[in-house]
Amino acid sequence: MSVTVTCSNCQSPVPSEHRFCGGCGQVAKPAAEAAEAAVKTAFFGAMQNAGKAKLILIRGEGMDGVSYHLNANEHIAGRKSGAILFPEDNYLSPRHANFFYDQGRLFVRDEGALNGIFIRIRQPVELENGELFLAGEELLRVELRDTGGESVGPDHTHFFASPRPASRFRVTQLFEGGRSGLVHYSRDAAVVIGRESCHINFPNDRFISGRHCRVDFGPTKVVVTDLQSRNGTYVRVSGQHELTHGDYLFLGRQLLRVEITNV
Amino acid sequence: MATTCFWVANSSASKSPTFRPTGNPNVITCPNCSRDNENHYKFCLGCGTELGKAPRMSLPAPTALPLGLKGPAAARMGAALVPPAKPAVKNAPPRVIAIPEPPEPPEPPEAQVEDPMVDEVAIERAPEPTLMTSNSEILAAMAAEAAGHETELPWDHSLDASADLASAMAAAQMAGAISDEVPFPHVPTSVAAPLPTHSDARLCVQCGAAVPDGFKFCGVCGTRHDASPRRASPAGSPVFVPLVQDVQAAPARLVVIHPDGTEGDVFPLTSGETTVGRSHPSSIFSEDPFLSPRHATFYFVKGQLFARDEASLNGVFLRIKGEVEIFHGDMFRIGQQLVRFEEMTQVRPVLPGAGDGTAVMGSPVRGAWGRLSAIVALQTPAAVWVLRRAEENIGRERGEITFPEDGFVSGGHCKLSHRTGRYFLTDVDSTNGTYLRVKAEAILSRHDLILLGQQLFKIEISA
Repeated sequence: MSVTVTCSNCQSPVPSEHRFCGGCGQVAKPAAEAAEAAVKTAFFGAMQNAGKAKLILIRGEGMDGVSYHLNANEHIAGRKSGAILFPEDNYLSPRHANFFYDQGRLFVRDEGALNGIFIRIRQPVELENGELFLAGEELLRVELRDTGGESVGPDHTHFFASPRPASRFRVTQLFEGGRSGLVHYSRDAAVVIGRESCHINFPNDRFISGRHCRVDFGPTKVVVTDLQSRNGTYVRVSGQHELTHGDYLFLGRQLLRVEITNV
Repeated sequence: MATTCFWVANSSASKSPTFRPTGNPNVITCPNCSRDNENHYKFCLGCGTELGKAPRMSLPAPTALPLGLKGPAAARMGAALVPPAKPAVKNAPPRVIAIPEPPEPPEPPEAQVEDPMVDEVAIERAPEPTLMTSNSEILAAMAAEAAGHETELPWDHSLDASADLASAMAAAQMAGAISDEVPFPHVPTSVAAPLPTHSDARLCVQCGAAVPDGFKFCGVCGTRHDASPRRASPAGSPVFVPLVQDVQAAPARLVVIHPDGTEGDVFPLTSGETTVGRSHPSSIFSEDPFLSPRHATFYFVKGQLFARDEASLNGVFLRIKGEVEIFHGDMFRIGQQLVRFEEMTQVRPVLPGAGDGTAVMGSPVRGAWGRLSAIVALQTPAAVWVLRRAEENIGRERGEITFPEDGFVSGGHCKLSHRTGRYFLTDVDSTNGTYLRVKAEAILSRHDLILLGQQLFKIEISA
C-alpha cells in the first residue's frame, strides 16, 4: 500500500513514491515531509481548495458559475490554447489573455488579442484618443482629434458642406465585424449614454441602463464615469493590469468575475 | 427690436472654448451667441443672427439702412442716402442700382441708423426662416468691393415661393433661433455692384437719362431697367447681357431664385449644349466660388431638357418631388446640411480583422440597414446616424434624426425608408425642399428647382 501525500501546490493526492505531482508537476516533498504532510487531513478534491484566486464565469459559454482556479503561476485563456479555454467563442483570439502572479499579486495581460480585454470601471477613468469602452452591448470609441478634411477642392472651388460641429470630442459606435455605426459629436462638455432620454440612446439594448455612463471632457482628457448602471461600464485593458477582488472582465463574450481569497 | 449684425472677423472674441478643427480656421464667431459658424454661412446656426463671411481684412461695420422701401422709390432713397449701399427690397429686382455719383466707402462703424419703420416692417414681415438676409451683408460686400477685395457670398437656401408662410413662421418660432431677427426681404446673391463707370449706358425709356449698364433703375426717375421676369424688361447682367428677345425665345431658361423666393436674373439655355460654371462669363456663375469652372451642361435630346454634372466638386442637386429611390453613396441637401446615405452592407470596416479566425467584436447590428452621415469637408463625414427602422424621419425637431441647430430644416423635413431591399427618400412637405445630387445626368421638367453651387435656379421650358 503506498502512502499518498497531498501536493503542496494543488492539493492533489501524490503517491509517496512519485517524485512529481501528477496534477500540477510540482516537485513532491521528500518522504519525511511527506510523512508529516500525511498527518494532515487531505481534501476530497483539488477544487475544494480555495487556492489563491479564481475566475467565476458569470455569462458566457457553457455553465454559468463555473470557476477557474488560478493556482499555478500563469494561466492562459484563449480559444485554442491554455488552461482557460472557450473554444466556441470566436471573439477570443487563439491565445487571448494571461492571468499570472507577480510577487503575490494577480495580473491580467493582453496577449495581443484582436478584441482585447475589458475591465469594469470602479471609478471615473481617463480615456486617450481612440480608446474603447463597453456600455451594455455597445462597443464605443472616444475620439479627440479633429475631423479634418479639406474645404477647398481642385480648381479652388469651395466645397459646400454641412456645418462642422463645434465639439470637443466624439463618440463612435463600432459594430461587430468592424464597421462604424453611430457617430455623436458632443454639444456640451458631457455626453450621457443610456437607453433613453440621453445624448446617445440605444433603445434596443437590453443590457444598457436608462442612464448608463457619462463621458466628460476634462481639462486634458476625456473621462468616462459609470452612472451606477446595472451591468457596468468597461474599458479596454492596455498591456497588463492588476486585478483586485470583485473585478469583472470581458474576454470576448465571456464575462468573468475575479475572486481573490488568500493572497 | 431689430437685431442688425455686422461681420465679425473669426479671431474676434470667441468666448466658447470649443474644440476647433484645425483644418478649417476660417470660422465666423456669432457676435450674438459666440457660436462658431462655417465661413460660408449667412446666419448663425445657433441663434439665427446674420453673419458675414470671415473677411480677409477688417471692415468697418457698415451702416444699417431703413427697410420697407419698395422698387424705384427705394432706389432713389437708397441712392440718396448712401450711394453704393442701397438696400435691396422685396420685390425689387435682383441687380441694383442707379447711382449717379461715384461710390463712396461705407460709413464708419458707429452709427447704426435706426429707422422708425424698421420695427413695423419686422412685425409685418417677420417670418420665414429663410428670410434671413440683410443689408449689412450688401454693405459689407460693397465695402469689400470698394476695397478691391474679392467678394464671396454663401449659398443661401431659398424659400419656395409657394411655401406656406404660416407654417414657416410657426417653424421659425418653434426654432426660437431667429425670433428677434428682422429678415431683410431681398438680397441679390450677386452683389458685386456694377460701378457707374461702366460703359454702354442705356437711355431711360421714361425720361431719357443715361442708365449705366448693369443698373436696374434709372437714377433720375426710378424707372426699372432690369430683367425681372415679372416685368419683361431688359436684362441687367453687367457682363453677360442677353437681349430680352433671346431670353424669351430660348427653348429653356434658368431663373435665379432669391432667398426670399423672388425670381431674379434669367439665363437662357439654347437648343444646343450650354455649359455653365465659374469660368462662364456671366456673373450669375462667375462669382460663385462653389461652382467648378465647368460645372454642368444643359442640353436637349428630342425636345427633352437634360442636365449633366461635369464631374463638378459640389454637384448638381435637383429638388425631389415626393418619393425617389436612392442608392448607396447618394448625397442630398436639406437646410444647410449635406448628407450621404450608405447601405450598411457596403460600408467598409474600420477595425481590422485577424487572419486566425477571430471575429471582430462590437455592438450588435440589430437589423441596421444603412447609415446617414453629415459631410463637413471633402470626403469627411462627421455625425453619423444608424438607420434601423423601416422608416427613419429627418427634421429639425421631429424624427429619429434631428438637426436642431439648422433653422433651414423644417420641423419634419424628409424621411428615409427601406422596403424589400430598396431604399427611398421622401420629402414630407418641407419648406425648403430636399435636393438629391444628380448622378451623371437628369431629365429636367418645367419648374424643377436645381441647385448649382450656392445658387438655386428654377427651370423654365418654353412650350
